[in-house]
Amino acid sequence: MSADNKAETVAEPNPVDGPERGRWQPAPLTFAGRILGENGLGRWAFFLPVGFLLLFFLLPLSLTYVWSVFERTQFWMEPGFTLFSYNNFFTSARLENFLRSMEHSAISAALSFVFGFPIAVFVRRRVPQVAQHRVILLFILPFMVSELIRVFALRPVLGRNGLVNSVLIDLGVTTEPITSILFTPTGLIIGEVLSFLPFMVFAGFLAMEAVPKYVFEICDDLGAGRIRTFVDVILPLAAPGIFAGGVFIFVNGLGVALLPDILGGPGAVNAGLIATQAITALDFPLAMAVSAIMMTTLLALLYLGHILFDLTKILTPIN
Amino acid sequence: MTDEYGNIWTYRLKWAYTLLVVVTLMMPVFYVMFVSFNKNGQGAAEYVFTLEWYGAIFSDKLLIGALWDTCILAIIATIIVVPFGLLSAKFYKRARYKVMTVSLLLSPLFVPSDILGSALLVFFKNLNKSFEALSDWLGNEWFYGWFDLGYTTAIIGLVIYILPYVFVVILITMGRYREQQTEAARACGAGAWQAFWHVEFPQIRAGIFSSCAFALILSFNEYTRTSLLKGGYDTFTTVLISQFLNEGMSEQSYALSSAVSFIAIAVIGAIIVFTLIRSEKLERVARAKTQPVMST
Amino acid sequence: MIPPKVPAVEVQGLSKSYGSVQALNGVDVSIGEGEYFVLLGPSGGGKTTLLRVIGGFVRPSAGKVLLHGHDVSALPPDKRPTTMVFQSYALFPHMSVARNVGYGLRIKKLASRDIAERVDAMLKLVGLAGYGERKPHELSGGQQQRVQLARSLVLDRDILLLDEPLAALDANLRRDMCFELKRLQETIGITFVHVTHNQEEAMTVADRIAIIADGKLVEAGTAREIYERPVKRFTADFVGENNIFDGTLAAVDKSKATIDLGFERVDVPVDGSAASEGAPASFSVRSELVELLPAEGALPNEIQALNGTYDEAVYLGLTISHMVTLPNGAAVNARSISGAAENLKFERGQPVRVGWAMTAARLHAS
Repeated sequence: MSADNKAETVAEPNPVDGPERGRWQPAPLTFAGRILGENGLGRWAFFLPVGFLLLFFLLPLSLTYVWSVFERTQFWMEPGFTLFSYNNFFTSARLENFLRSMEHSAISAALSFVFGFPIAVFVRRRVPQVAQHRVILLFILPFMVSELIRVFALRPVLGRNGLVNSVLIDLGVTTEPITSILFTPTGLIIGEVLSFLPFMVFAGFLAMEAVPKYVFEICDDLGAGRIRTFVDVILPLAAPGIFAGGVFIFVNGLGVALLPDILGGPGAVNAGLIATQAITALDFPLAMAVSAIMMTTLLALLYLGHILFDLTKILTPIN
Repeated sequence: MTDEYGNIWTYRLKWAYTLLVVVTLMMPVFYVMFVSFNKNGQGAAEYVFTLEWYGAIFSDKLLIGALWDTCILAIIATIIVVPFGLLSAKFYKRARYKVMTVSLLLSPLFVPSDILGSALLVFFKNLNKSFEALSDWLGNEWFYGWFDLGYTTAIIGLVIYILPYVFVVILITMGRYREQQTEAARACGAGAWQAFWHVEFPQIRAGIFSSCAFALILSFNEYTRTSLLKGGYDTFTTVLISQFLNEGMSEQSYALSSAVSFIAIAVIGAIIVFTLIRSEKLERVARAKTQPVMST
Repeated sequence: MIPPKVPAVEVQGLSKSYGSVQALNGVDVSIGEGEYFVLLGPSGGGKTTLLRVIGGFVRPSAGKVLLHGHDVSALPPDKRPTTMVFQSYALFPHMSVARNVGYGLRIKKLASRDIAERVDAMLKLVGLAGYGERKPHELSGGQQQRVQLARSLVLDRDILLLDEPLAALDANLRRDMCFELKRLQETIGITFVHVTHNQEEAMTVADRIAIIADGKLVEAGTAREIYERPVKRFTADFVGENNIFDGTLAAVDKSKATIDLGFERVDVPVDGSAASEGAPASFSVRSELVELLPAEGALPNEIQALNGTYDEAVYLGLTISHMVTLPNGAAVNARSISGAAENLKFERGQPVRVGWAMTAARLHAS
């Protein structure tokens, strides 16, 4: 310690001998203090968001099961127990449509994985640490534009006189406009992939954060080829995140009415569209039945994922 | 480029692919913006640059009203959801059952908009009926119409939708903050709120403001839940979709969509750039901190 | 004036568990007014938890905390007469040094002129006069800890808690700061409770030391008592460089006990603690009290010795440690001041005896 930092202690009076020394008494506990605890109302505030979610999220969704067995009346529904709505759903063309939409959504999820996950791997593995988050933020940009606009914008892009066809014709690749990319399942899948790809990138990136960097170095050291590394190492480690991203896309593909409504062409429906159409037709139990079926599908998938992959691993980067 | 990576061309190729994907994702939006400046509309042979369609927006009273309503919804939703997000993040940090807590807080992400909207719609109608019955039993009208489809219900839907996003953003921001500072403030005599406001908040301010911008944009853009829950009035997105469905995509719709998208992208772009600059500065400071300083 | 009988800090039956992990298990500690009290122990042993319970940052699962005789168990940190210095990263980075130090005073709503005066006086006291406008990241580790001290001491509370305050500093700086802390405490006169795992630090600053390990209070006493007369085996093992010998009690009478080490028997003095024959027992001898003796020849009176094989000498500057291996594989350390005349020369592998005065050994029941 250098000499100039030594403080004088001999001549100066003790600067800290204040009037409170030795006379501390604990503050008496007020009546309100007794009830509310040390921080007053503050303690209970922390439960507010969770309470809010329980009341306005979990409760309504759980009640869909209850309402789905109510009887339909002209404008509303009657409490009761009937499987009419489920019967209605399962025996009509709706079921076929629903299954077909599941197929489409599954394809969308798979395609999103194929196109999006390599990006996540690339960013995590080869981009310098500090820049990684910024690159991922780039994928927020499309997300900042309303889903409505993004989906609707695909009409002029994929349509007969749209951007894609104009470019293809101008470049001489085709002479006739391609009509199979809009108002068809293909168009629907394109729309879904474009809408949800960023989520797969995010989910993949989060999943990759669970893979420590040294794993790659070990793979390189051991001379594992790129494909082997991918299949044997990356996929299993990142599986929880990939699965979560896939479920997200699948479920949203099934549930967002906008997509088949605008891109899918005549007769294209998914569960979400069936539900909203039912509400417009004032058939509330049916809408609730469809919602309940969707919720069950979601829960089943998540449970399956949890058994297979232990989805809680995704959360490690957040901790 | 990190590691001793052999092939720089593969690296560049992958970078190019990533950027290509981003551009492809944005392409429809850019196309819409492109068309919005065209006097002759979409698909026309000749391109004439004009701003007249943007002018047309401002003269449409219905549209301006809808935009205004949407702004109000967005602001109120943000005022509610950001503190909720902050409370959730703090709650999560001290929760005993972390997995259950975070699952609950992130679950709205996994429920598609139409399903949630439908369920909430029926829920609110039922809630109204129950409250009305309660009122009738009490013999007055106190509980009438609390949850009529309108501002309240739309805001509840928005808050549920946005909460997970804000929660994650704030949680990540708080990851850099050291709890010891709050403890030190408490040890100096500050109460819980004072410690937060004086010590923690200044350090997580950036994340909070980002999440405010994020929340505003998300609520502005949201369609499905709002349309189901809003009741009588119109929002920006519902006006858009009625225009789309009735008139097809009119030149005005192009202009409107472009304008809003442009603002959203600009705001988020600004935040990204800002955090870029800030993190450069912070890195410099952090590097200075780790330089060996003469011990005294 | 507080009646001198009331301890500044009293902890009764304190327990704290985190799920299945028991951090503290029924700890009783009493700290006197104006004492410099150190909680010493291995990492993860519970000393920091204990400190944080006293400070109000952790709620105990069972037990009470009394400060100046008042039960404070329900009070948060800001309502207790305690304040705390942390290991690191506890200065507010967005405030200058002066604003950091004055923070608590601003909370108390003192007038700004008062605050400025006290802050200046305190900065002078810790040797940082003129540093008021610096930012924390511009300061060295030692300076940051001094700012923390200033920030805590300016509040004029009765009890200062220190949570491994010197752990992030290098050895030389730590030594200087130890003296600085001791001087401060003697000047100001309040109670200091200091947590560390570093023995030298503990012995430099402490009036009394408590050894905390495995969530329990092992032993408490002054530095000299802990060092020279450890009661528990753990203390002997943890503090100083003691040789520990484990065996069984072969015979005991009023003046001495005989411990059977398996390959030899040794007599150790009995201090009155009861032990039954056949029970496991251990004793310790400070390494500086162990001498090297030639393998053959008569032993002086009252010297206990064990046969062994010489290993090597480790030169540590001030001391030399001679390592000897016993027939059961255990190592014995005989320490002496370098350059002392009795340094005999031995070769590795050479038979040798290690010996000590019988009174130098301490018997431990556990």
